[in-house]
Amino acid sequence: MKTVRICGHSHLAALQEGYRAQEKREVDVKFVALSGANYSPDDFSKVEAEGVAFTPPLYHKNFAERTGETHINGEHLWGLSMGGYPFRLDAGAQWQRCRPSRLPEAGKRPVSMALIDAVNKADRKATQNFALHLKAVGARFFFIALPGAIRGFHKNDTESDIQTRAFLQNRARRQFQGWLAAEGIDFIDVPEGLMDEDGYMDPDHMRLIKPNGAKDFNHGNEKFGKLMIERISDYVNSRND
Amino acid sequence: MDHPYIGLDKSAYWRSAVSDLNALELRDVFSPKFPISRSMAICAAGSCFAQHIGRQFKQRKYKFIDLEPPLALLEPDILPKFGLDMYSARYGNIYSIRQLLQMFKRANGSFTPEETVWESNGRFYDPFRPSIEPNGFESLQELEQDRAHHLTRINRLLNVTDLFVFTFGLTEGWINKSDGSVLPTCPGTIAGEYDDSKYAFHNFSHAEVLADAEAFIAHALTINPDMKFMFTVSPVPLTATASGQHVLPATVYSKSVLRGVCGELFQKYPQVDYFPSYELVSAHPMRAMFYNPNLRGVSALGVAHVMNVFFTAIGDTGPEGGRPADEESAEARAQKEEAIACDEMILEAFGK
Repeated sequence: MKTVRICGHSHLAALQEGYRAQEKREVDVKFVALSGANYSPDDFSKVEAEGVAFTPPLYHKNFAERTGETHINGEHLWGLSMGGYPFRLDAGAQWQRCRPSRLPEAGKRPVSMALIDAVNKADRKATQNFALHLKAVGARFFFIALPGAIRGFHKNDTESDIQTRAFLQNRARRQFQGWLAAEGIDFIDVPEGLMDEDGYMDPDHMRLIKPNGAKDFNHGNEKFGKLMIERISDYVNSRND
Repeated sequence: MDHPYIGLDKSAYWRSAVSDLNALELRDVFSPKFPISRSMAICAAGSCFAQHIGRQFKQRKYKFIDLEPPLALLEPDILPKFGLDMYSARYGNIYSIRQLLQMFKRANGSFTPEETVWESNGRFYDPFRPSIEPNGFESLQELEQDRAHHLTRINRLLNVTDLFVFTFGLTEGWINKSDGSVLPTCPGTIAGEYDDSKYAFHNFSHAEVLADAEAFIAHALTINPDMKFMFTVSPVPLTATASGQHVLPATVYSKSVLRGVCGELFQKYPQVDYFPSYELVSAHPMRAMFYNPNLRGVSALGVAHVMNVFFTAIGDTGPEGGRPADEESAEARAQKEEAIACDEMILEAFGK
């Protein structure tokens, strides 16, 4: 049976639950959680003689504890569950006052697509640099899509607010996928049918409530994880390495 | 024998005020005409040097107006590239008082320029704010939406301003021959396409700058009769002159006109004060020590010195809840200096 290591942040939970719920496993998966969230624009990796190392002490510690190793190199196949979420554009209440220029609305400040793209580009940079570092050391890896958000999660969001958030998330996701494709990096997307035409997730595949009881707007559940693990397994088994 | 030059304050005599002092000790060079407090709503505009003034007001927690603020959580290095967090709205650098006056006329509908867009390689630029979108807008519709919002905010700006700070930058400008509209940059430098049948060079005279400044003051006082004005002249020399003169005398002419106008406005209007940032950097007692090696850009140390003189004079010795500008690390100052957006740098890079 082929093996793959899946590395990432909080979205690993759904994948792990889905993996554990599988009646028949097609690949052997080891999960390596780095931290609870990765909403920093700063680089988190560097290239060293032994391979790619994580620079934040927490990532480094967690990686070492969960793998017994300190670097990623060409030894294992890695699935990376990260990237493509516009964490800064999705934050705060700014979209109650503004709109992307392609979704104009009277009384709302228009924000140019170039500015939105500049923010997305800055948000993607650290993850993209991580991917480039992995390529530089000859690592074998692919990216795994994060789930989209749930429609109407934010309190007081109007239908127009909801469309705005969906627009931003889809754009960020597409741009990240475009970058990966341009770099020749494989990407395992969310199965068709789980997202509606606006890019919002089917709530039946979402967690909805966090362990602390708070509402959870963007994490998949076991059902989502199971579908993703099936896709990942198919992909891993299709590889020739 | 008694005469008016006897018994004056030390600051009135060159020897005691300048030659006996280190240049860094010239701290009483500015005596504010009116108090400036943190409760005043402050608006800033002008040439690129004006960005330093706005930034200091913000850092020191003054009530600095920004009617087109950045979206939350944007990276600091993105902001000036998109004309954000620079001034009191997203108008970019305003090099001439004619341009300032024209902006308010466009906002209130009393002037509508004939040329409203420059298209280049499928991107669309606002001729009056060519730098605020580094690669232009993606469509004419996007540009028009942004401009409509911008002018709405500009139309409100004077209503909410208590102190208007303007830094005079240049006398040289470019004008659209069809309607006389003044452009912030020469077409073809940042955007647009130069066509000498459409555009003309114009070097504003003292009389023109004075008339424009008085027209602006009158307009602003109509909206807010209590408004105060703080005028300065940028110490940054011209990057290039289109006057046909050598750039050095062209610079001295330009700055002399602007300094002369500020002097007249200062004498005529009780609401107008003049802060000598130009003198504090470029006057010969400073021995050019506040310029970068190209003798054009003002160093971080120079900016900090000028700002400290200003804020000390108005009774503010440091940012509220922060460090004084001159205690910032050299690295931090250099980074901030780098972030100042100056359209003229584009001219320097691509104008050869």
